[in-house]
Amino acid sequence: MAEEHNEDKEGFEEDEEKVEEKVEEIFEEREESPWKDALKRRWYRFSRNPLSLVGLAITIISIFLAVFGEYIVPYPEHGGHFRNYPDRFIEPFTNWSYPLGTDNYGRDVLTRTILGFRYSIRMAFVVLSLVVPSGVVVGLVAGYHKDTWVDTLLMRISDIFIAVPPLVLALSITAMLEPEPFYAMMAISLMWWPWYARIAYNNVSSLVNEEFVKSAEIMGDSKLHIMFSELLPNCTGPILTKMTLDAGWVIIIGASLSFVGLGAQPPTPDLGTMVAGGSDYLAHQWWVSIFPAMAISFIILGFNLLGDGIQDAFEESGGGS
Amino acid sequence: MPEKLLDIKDLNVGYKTYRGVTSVLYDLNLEVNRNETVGVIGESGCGKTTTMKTINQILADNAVIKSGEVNFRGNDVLKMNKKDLVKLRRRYVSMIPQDPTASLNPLFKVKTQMKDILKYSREDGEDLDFKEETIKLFNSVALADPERVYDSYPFQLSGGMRQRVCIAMSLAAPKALLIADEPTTNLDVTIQNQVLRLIGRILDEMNFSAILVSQALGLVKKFVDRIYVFYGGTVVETAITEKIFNNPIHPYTRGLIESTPKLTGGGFSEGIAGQTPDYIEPPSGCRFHPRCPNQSEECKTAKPEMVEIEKDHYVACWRQ
Amino acid sequence: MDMKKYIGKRLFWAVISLIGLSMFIFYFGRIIPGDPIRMMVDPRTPESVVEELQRSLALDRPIYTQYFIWLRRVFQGELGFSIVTRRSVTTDVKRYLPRTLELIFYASLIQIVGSFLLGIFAGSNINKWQDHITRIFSYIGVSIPAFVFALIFQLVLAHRLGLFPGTGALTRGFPVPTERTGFLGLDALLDGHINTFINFVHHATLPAVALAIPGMAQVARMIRSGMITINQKEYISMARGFGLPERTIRFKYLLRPSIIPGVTVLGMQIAMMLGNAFLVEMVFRWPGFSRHAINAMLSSDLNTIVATVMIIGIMFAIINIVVDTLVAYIDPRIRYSGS
Repeated sequence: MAEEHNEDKEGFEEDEEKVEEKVEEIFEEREESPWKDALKRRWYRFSRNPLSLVGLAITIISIFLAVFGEYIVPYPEHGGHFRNYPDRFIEPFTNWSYPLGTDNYGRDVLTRTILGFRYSIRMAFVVLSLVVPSGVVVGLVAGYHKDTWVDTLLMRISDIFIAVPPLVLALSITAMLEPEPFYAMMAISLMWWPWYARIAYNNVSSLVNEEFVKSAEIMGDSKLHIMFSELLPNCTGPILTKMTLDAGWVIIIGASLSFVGLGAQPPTPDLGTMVAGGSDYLAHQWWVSIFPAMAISFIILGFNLLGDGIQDAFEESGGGS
Repeated sequence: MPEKLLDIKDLNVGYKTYRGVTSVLYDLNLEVNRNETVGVIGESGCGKTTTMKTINQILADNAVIKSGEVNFRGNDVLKMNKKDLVKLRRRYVSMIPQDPTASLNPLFKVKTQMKDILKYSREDGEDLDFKEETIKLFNSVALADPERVYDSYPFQLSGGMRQRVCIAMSLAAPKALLIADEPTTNLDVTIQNQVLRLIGRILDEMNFSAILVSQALGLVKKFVDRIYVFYGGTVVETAITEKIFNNPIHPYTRGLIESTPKLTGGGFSEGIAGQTPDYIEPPSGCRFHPRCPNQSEECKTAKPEMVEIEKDHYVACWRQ
Repeated sequence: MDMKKYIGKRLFWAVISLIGLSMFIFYFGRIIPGDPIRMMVDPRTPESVVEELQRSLALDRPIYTQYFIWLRRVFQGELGFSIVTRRSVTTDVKRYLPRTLELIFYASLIQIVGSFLLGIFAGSNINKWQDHITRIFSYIGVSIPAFVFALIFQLVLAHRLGLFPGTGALTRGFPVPTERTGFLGLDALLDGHINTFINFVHHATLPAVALAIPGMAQVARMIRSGMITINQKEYISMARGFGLPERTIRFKYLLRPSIIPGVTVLGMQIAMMLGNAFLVEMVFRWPGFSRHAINAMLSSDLNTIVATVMIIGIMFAIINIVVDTLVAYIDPRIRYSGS
């Protein structure tokens, strides 16, 4: 046995290279690439819960209806000024031409409800595309410059907007501007971005003193590079989760604004506006309000389930070792 | 009363993961007799902690016990009902954890946690003066300021102090078996020595059985009667301490013993080439064969059986 | 750092935020187009009178001066003139705010108790039927907007089944309690009119439940998931390893860390409640401040809108501080790190 050892010592240099080769091989075999592996892992965790898949399906359906709704509805013209008094208040499930019944102007509820998806999804999309990038950037910058005047200034500004519940501020700002979907979206965006700043900030500020950041600094990476390539990926989980859940919240707020009368105005087939419009007839012609209300709930349910699934997918759960 | 305190037979345990069910413990056999200290050595991830947690049944939720027996004083732990299991944990088995920080509840003061442990582990649990007993225990684990520790939250203590609190917890009541799962691995190097000496003294003085899992071979050599060498979820060699260190036979054991830098010269060692096995698709036959300088065809096909190579010295290797 | 310092710090920053908020909302209100004076007065009013009014309201001065004048007035209790009710906003606030506060209080009670019961019920029976039912309820509760719940309750429980009154705070015919505290329920009790009190609570129940459900569902979910996460922690399995009774582990060592995310969110949920109150009060015609504010918003009554934002902001700040203090009490780590 001693002889074996001598052999090893003689071939020392070669062995090192061989070992490296072998290690590389093993690495290649085991993971197609770190990216793909992470994706596989995330999908496994996501799809483990069937509800997440349901959420994904619902969201896809909602987006589909939002985009293609106007091409598939039976009565596209019912989405605007349309009057058909003889056919008003037809009850749902009684008439094949109007499966969900008609409203007080004789307009098909099914058509208008499907058309309504567009406004809700659009609102979520617009608000989030404005709010997430700006909020996250602010949070990143503030978190990276933690405990400096930059940090304090940025975070205190965002605190102002967090000082009031979202709906209240949205209502007030829209009221002060003009009751229109555009202003509603602007108002919601204005008071929503600080939440993302906060998340990014919280995630980043705890990482700022970690090894990998310090070593990047020493190597001379620019601050921009550090912020976006090193720190940002670490926040993706919580940000993505929040984005998805927020889509639901934004839609609720949008519908609430419309319900109150500060969003889309009649005859626009916005779901919230429709619920409000039908509330006068709630006692006897309940379907005019209820179906749009169900549609709102449907969309939001989808986002909530999806958001939960994303949270599961990114969670570092425990387990054996 | 059976002589063997703990008798693990052909244990197979795995975990459910995103890549499938792993096969971590693989036909594991291990025994502990009364009044003896058994050492378990092996690299990280070879199933040592899994084995220990199977003994008192605190495995994670995604663990799967596929087959085998874990007999404690003649009764199979795996088949015990809740009541007997709780009794086992209170009266017979205790564990010093690997990570003291994770093992103490951060929201409760040390005194609260100690009180509950004393209350339920001791036979006279209800009548104790908890503070007095706790201080006594803290003194026995060489905590410098026991009163202060008593009234603190875990995050206010240093790593070494937390570990000593955990040791005190495991000594709260006399037990039949003490499991020390890598008690010094997660500590600062400067504290390791203190805690090592403390554990050594405990093992020396107390007359219970113990399993010491550790990568600190010096500690193991000094205080342990028999050694089990783990690799890839199974035992590859076992013998009394002296024989393992003086005459390691399995290539892995030899690699381990020889890769420990010795103060008495011999320079740096090379370590053992290769990586830990993938537990989703573990190597066929002998799990060590990909890293073994002596591998043969037979090694790839069948798991080697334990063979008594000399008195009280067993090896699982086809090439002996 | 101990509790007092912690609360003090939070108070300080809350005040700073509120001041910032007031600046923002004031400025925002002033830069929108539209002449506030003309909106208040009869269109035939002569120009000189209008200018006189402008001067008295300091509208001819630079904006920061206006802000400070406004701020001073606010501290003196003068919130401006409402173009809707034609009287001081302060009067409106005194009249309507207590009603809303009572509703919020009732709803918060339901929410807190309900969410804890549900969350613990689900968390203690993971993957059994109790858990599944609770989770379904949670998803429904979070996905259906509060105003939809309000409508459904009103339709089904009030109109169809007649179990609850559908609008208002008191049924006609019940004696109106003498105004001592301004709080209807309290005043009724002080008067000794138990029946009035019960009638009041009866009226308040549907709106309160509608307000409570979204938050209750959310917090229950978080308590449940908190329990699942904490159950995987090493210190819980170690506690089991020491043979501590399952009862003790569950209700002491597991519960406390589990509820932290839920309690943290509780503040947010009650804040959402403040927002939802606007719609729920509208549906039930509850005579509260939120409903009044909606009318003000639809009529562009600037002073009321600004007052609303500030009042809600203050309420929200108070709720947050209370919740944060609660969390710091539960989790000592926060107290000692101070953020």
